[in-house]
Amino acid sequence: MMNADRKTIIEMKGISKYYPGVTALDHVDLDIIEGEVHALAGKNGAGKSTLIKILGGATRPDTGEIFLNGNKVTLHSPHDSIAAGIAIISQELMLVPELSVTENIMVGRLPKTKFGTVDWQSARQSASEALSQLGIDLDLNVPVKKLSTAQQQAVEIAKALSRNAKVLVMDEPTSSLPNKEVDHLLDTIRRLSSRGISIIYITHKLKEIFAVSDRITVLRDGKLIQTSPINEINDSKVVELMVGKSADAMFTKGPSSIQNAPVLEVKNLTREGSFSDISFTLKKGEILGIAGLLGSGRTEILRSIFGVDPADSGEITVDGRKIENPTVTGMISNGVSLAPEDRKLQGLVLSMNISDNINMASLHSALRHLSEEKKISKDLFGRMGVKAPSIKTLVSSLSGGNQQKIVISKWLATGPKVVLLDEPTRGIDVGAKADIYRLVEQLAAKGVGVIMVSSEFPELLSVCDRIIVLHEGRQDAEFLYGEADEETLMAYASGTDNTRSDREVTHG
Amino acid sequence: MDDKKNHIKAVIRDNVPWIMLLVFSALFSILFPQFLTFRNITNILRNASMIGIIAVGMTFAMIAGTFDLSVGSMMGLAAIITLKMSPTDLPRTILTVLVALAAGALVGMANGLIVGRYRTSSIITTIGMEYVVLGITLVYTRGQHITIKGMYKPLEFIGKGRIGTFPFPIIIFLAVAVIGQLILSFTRFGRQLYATGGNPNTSELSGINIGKVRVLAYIISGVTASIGGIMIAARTQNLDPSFGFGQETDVLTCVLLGGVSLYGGKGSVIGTFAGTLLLYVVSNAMTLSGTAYEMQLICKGLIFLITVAASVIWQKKG
Amino acid sequence: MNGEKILKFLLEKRSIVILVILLLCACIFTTEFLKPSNLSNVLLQVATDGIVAVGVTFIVLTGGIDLSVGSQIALTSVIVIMMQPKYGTFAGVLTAVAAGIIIGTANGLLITRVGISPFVTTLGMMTLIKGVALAISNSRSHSGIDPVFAHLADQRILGIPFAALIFILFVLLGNFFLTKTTVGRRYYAVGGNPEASWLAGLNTNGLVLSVYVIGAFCTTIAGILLTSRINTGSPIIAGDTGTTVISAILLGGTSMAGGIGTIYGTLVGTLILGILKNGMNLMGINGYFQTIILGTLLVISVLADRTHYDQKSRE
Repeated sequence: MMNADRKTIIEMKGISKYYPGVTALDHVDLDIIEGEVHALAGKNGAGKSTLIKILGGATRPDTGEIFLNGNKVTLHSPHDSIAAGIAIISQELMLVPELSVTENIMVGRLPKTKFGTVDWQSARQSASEALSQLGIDLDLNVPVKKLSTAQQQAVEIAKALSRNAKVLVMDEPTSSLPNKEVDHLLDTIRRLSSRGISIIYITHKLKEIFAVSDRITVLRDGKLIQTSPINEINDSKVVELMVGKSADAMFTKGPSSIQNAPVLEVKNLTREGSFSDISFTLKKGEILGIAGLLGSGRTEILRSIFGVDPADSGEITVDGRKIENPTVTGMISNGVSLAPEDRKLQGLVLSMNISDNINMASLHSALRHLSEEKKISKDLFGRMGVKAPSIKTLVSSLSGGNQQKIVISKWLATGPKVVLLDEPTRGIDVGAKADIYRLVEQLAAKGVGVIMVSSEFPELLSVCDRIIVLHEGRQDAEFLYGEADEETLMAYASGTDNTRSDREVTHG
Repeated sequence: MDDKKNHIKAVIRDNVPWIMLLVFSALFSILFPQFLTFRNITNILRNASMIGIIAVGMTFAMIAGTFDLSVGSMMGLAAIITLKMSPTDLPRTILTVLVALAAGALVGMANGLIVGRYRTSSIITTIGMEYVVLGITLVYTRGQHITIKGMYKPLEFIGKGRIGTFPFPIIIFLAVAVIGQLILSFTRFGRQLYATGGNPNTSELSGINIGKVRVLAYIISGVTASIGGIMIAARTQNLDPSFGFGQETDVLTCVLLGGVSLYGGKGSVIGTFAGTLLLYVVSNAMTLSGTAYEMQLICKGLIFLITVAASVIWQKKG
Repeated sequence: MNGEKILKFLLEKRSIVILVILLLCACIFTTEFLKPSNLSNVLLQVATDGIVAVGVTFIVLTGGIDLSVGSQIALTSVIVIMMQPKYGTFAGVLTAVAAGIIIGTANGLLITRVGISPFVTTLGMMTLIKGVALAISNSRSHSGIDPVFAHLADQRILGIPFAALIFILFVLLGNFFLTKTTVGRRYYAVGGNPEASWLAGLNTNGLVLSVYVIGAFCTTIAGILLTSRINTGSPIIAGDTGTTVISAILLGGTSMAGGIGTIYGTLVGTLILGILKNGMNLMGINGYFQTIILGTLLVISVLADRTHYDQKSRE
């Protein structure tokens, strides 16, 4: 596949990017050769997306240089990157939902007739040419909001092709695609690279990396770890490079504190289009893990239990009390709490300080008890080991790990019986992750039932007393602590229980 | 050392309206000898009371992340109700005041239900309500100018009275401001208001009924508009039926000058109080210097834009 | 099932449905409505607000708003009439157009460069421009002295008032611009997904700036025609224009969230408001009730827009 005399078309040298309190990139180098598929691997927070944003002109590096075909360039805006032949296809597709397929492919470059009006005929022709290069047939006049995710992604790729992109950056392109579409996409990537287009392929799925790429670059904590040809490396080596010192390895599970009394019972819970027939019993002091891939219904189950998006049918019983028509307020007063997946959008009020955030769900009387609030927030602040100047510090200035501790503190202040944690360690550094695990354990020791949803299977394996595996909204398997390994979980979660090759490494 | 610096910076940042008020006042005392007299100062405060009280209410709506642009007409309707009912004894005076306050609460509730429940654009909704309320006032008065001769004295006292040499409206203004700040600082509702404006998603997931919080915020805004209207009616006793329409811009200027965020979640009544005084100190100084009304309007527009631009740039820099 | 479909269709085409119902009511309940003189009167009356609405549709399509249009019309009328005695009507018109373009540019720059929200920017400009109009006119109304100009707006050509012809021209041009030209399609892209448009290499700031200039230009033209119709330069006219225009645009199906809407929709919205007003006048309904109805319509139209708005704000 690779050809030694092919030229380097992009060279990024010594790229650094600093955000307040975070070094996103620390002198990273990356070079892209014409026609290669270059995998960019690393866990979340490793710096992949920042590097890509810089290449796409969406943000400027603090240090470092970028060379295109040997010439130094400065990418001021996305416009500059596009002009240089770089196209970014981000995880969240950048389409205008109301506009047609043609217009989305040709956005900003609609051809004109000699009268200066839009030449729709030639626009449609260019659009359909770009689509046919992908071997895809779509109704060009349909608004893209009516297309499936795979089709929308095809529109994005066609947009890049119709611009004669030389370098295509694909950020986690398969994360929301069904399996059969994944193979199709990989075929497309091979086809494009054989035509001389370079592809930077970002994923955490090792199978895909080894299936399509020529070279791989691994980033960790904003640093370049290694770049090497794919045939000089194997999957366990890649995992090792990506993970480095892992949090679950730093954490040893203590004795389980499960009590015999059930605290939360869920029976035949079903929500159309999200999950069906979910049943389990959570005991006091138990840590129950829910393992599932994106779209498996893992988040939706928690939201249903918490009363955000109530289930269509099924029963929820908390501490022996059957809950009719669950609502958020009702569930909170029954002692259930949810730390949602997206801390900043759903877990915190960034404009308020630590103390106000901690107390916001537990203000019971119309008049505030300032001394009580102070006592509660000081106590939790200390117990959680939050690193901040004081309880009056704005939460917006805290690191991800400390922010998560505030979210959990908010719920601890309500004196919960059941704590639902949705991806509690997403985007948190290694040290803080171990802190969160310890915290979960302390909660359980006090008799609180904990449900932890995660896509980082190793952390479930090392923290949870029991793990339920979800596949496409159904309970697929259940394991006790020590019964399963990562491959087994992944096999069940991806629905390929007999083929153990579809490995996925952790992503946080 | 660095901590101390940051602390001082934070204190300055939190008190920009007060610092500006002090600087401008100092400047004007030097420029105009009559500025720093008891008479002039109480004059400024009395003029600021009505709009200031409404600004206190609007602060609530703004912290909750919504605009209330119907307060101009609402102030007018409350004023007209007060004049039209023209009570002549105490029970009827109390009834009149209650009716005017209830009208404000009702309009506030309507705003709150539409914006809070259906999540419409609060700007457009409350502009629509501004017209609805103006129309109601016009129908109620049949478009006639209303004048009252020999107003019942206790009612007149609300707008014109003095305790010693101190104008009574200022006392109402101070009382409303103090109560407002107390509600913000010391009640659960106050915290829920900041939470709702700061992040409605998180607030909902924390068990806060954000619809209810917004309805309450709008009711407070409507009621303060009514209080302002009653005071103006008691003071002028002579009003056009379209009085008040469009004055929400002045109220909004006070609130924004006071450092309340356009996007919700930030601000205080103390800030709004300083913002209101700032606006009235500046317009007082323009009057003292003999600036024409037209130029004052231009300056108001400029002050408004500069304030907002400064706060936007300030926020961008973090 | 079928009933549901019909209902959905009617809701989708609600602006046309409302217009048709209004037309029917106007024909049934008044004898005057269909008379040619009344119809051309309706056209003359909707023309000025309609031309402004065409311009503001561009602004709303990109997710913005302009509250300063009423003040802009007042300023235009003052400039044109005040310049008549010394410099003549033509110089006044040119100056007014120049002032409009400056105002539009100022709005656009404050929004794109400084980053103030469109609502607050144009609210501040509203006060500022009104102050300027009051200052120039010494807070008084002035009558025009140019008889040709005074008869320009209601000059009938084939029975249609000149101002209405200009309105129709602006509707056709606006629609052509938005649907047939590449720049027009970029406005939809910017309004529909600003981030995607920026990442696709569009000059989003430039596009947003340009709609405020277009809006101000249309507003100035409308102001000139209104000045001609009333032959007066007054700093306090057109106070309701901003509200009427936003109501017309929303009634026409354009979303406050941006990216959705058409000029023809705005035309329909403008006609709805015009016919409603005319019909109420013919039926002798008090003008004060009309204020209530204007406000109520605005609230209803913003409620109807809620589906788009809510989806957007959740994203």
